[in-house]
Amino acid sequence: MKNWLLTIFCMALLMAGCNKSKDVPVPSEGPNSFLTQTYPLPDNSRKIMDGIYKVTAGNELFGDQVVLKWSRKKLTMMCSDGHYSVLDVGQLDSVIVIQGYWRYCYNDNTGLLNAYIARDEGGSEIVNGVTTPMIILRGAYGKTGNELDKALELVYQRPISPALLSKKFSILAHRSGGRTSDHLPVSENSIAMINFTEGLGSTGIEVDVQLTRDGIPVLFHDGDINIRLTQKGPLSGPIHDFTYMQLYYLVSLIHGEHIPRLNDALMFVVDSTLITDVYLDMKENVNSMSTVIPIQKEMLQRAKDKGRDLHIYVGLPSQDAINDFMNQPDYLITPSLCELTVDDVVRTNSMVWAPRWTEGTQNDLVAQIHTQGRIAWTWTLDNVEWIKEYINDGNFNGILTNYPFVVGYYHYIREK
Amino acid sequence: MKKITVIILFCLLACFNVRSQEGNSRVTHFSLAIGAGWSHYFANMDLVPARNVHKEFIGTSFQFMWEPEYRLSLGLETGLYRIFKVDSVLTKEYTMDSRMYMIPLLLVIRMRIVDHFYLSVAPGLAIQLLQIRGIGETISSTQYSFANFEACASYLYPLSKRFVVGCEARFFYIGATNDNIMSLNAVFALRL
Repeated sequence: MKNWLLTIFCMALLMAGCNKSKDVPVPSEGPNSFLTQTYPLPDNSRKIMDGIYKVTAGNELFGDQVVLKWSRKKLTMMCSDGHYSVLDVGQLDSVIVIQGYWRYCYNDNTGLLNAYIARDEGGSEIVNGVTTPMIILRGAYGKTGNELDKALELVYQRPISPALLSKKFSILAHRSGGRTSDHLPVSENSIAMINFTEGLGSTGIEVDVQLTRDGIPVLFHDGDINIRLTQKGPLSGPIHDFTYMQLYYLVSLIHGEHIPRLNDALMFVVDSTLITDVYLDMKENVNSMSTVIPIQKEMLQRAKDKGRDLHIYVGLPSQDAINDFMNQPDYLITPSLCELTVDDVVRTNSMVWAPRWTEGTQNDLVAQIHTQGRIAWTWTLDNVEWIKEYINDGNFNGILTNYPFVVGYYHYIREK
Repeated sequence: MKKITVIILFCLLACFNVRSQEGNSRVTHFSLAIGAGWSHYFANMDLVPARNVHKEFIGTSFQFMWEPEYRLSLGLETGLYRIFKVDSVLTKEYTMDSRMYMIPLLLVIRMRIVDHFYLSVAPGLAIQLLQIRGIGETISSTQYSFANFEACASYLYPLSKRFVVGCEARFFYIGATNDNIMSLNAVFALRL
């Protein structure tokens, strides 16, 4: 009898083993949220809220200290251990109303988070754009469903160091902002993810570029159209077997988005975000540069025309990609990112050197890159302890990660 | 003395056991089987309603089996199944149809449960062929699925020492695309 049960269990495991992973719903107050009755905060008010806060209630989940940092449209709470919150903020009668949710990046734990800043605890000053050392967020969060049963209190300690903010440090989010496998509410390598990722604390993105059968660069990570990244449909198999029209009409990403063309994705970055860095991770080793570089140039020009400080780098992950790149007429003035050696960086005149993180902090080589007027990023760093070490002991100018809020926390708490 | 008796008895028992197997009329042999019949696709697409998916087709199977002993046999199986056909009306101007075929390459482990009735399981790989017509050229694409599983129940009736006829019901799971099909085949087998 036991053998039969074991056999049935093994067969069930086999059948369920390759199924799509579950969705993690985003906790929400819904359409009747009080936030709909408030007014948005002006830009100068938002900056006053950025800073390091002491957690005086809610430590068991968020630790003793958090960073609050505004992005384009969301307030992000970054914690030391991988917890984070994405928050919407409004004001009514000098009271700041904050609503959103918290998540833990290493599992699916999530819950609601609501708070406010009272008029006499910093609300008036923030609304009027006056810097104040006295800001107290009071509220509650829940550990399950839409409950709000745990007290939360954050007390402002200090601003993010101006010396730190004066130096550029790029927090680059993987796969256009986050991975599908992390159960985010939008799909990786989609325009929706580019729109979402700033709320996680990122200032730049890495996107995966592949060519379709008709030579159109699109964003997609895997070599195949598969049920890991797309909804089940009538099309599957190698992405380069299909034309863009076929992908457009017959494939939807896991949350329903279309696979975007590189052109459309970069246009969204330029027109609709404050993202400052884009790293084009070229999945095709050869014959894609002649297609991608003109799009890169067009979008850099578009950004320049709009007064945007945007950098778009073509990735050079292999010798084949370097050879293809160096066959292009203007390669020496084309912004690029080389993942190989420092000598390759010099040979291709890449602006960015991006070694994988497992090679260590390599401070001597990073210093050498800096003396050449270039910058260095490392990829793809996700572990809290390693992020902490690379930020405190390394000299990289940016880190590519799946968890930008963790990199943000350890970066913004630095003094300089 | 007792020890010697036990040893002699043990040896006799072993000899009788061996003889009982050697004396069986079934000896090791190989067989070739071909099957054909109806196949059904369990439509599970998120993007296309099940009513828009053609699910019923003709499927074929080929088996080469090694039947070394009384109950268990091992073998290789292949075949050709059309999994689905989807007609898509994309816009007023554009229609498209996509067809998925599958060629399994499986290792079959089969067991006789009662007379003429067999159960088998078969893990293995599958070659999936996708053909798309509409919007530009006809496109064929091939992909491989490595995590597949088949379960099959067969009734095989020997007509003579060489010829066997029967029917089989099989369920097939394709891991790469999370597709499931079942088929009911008539089978004709030749013992070599």
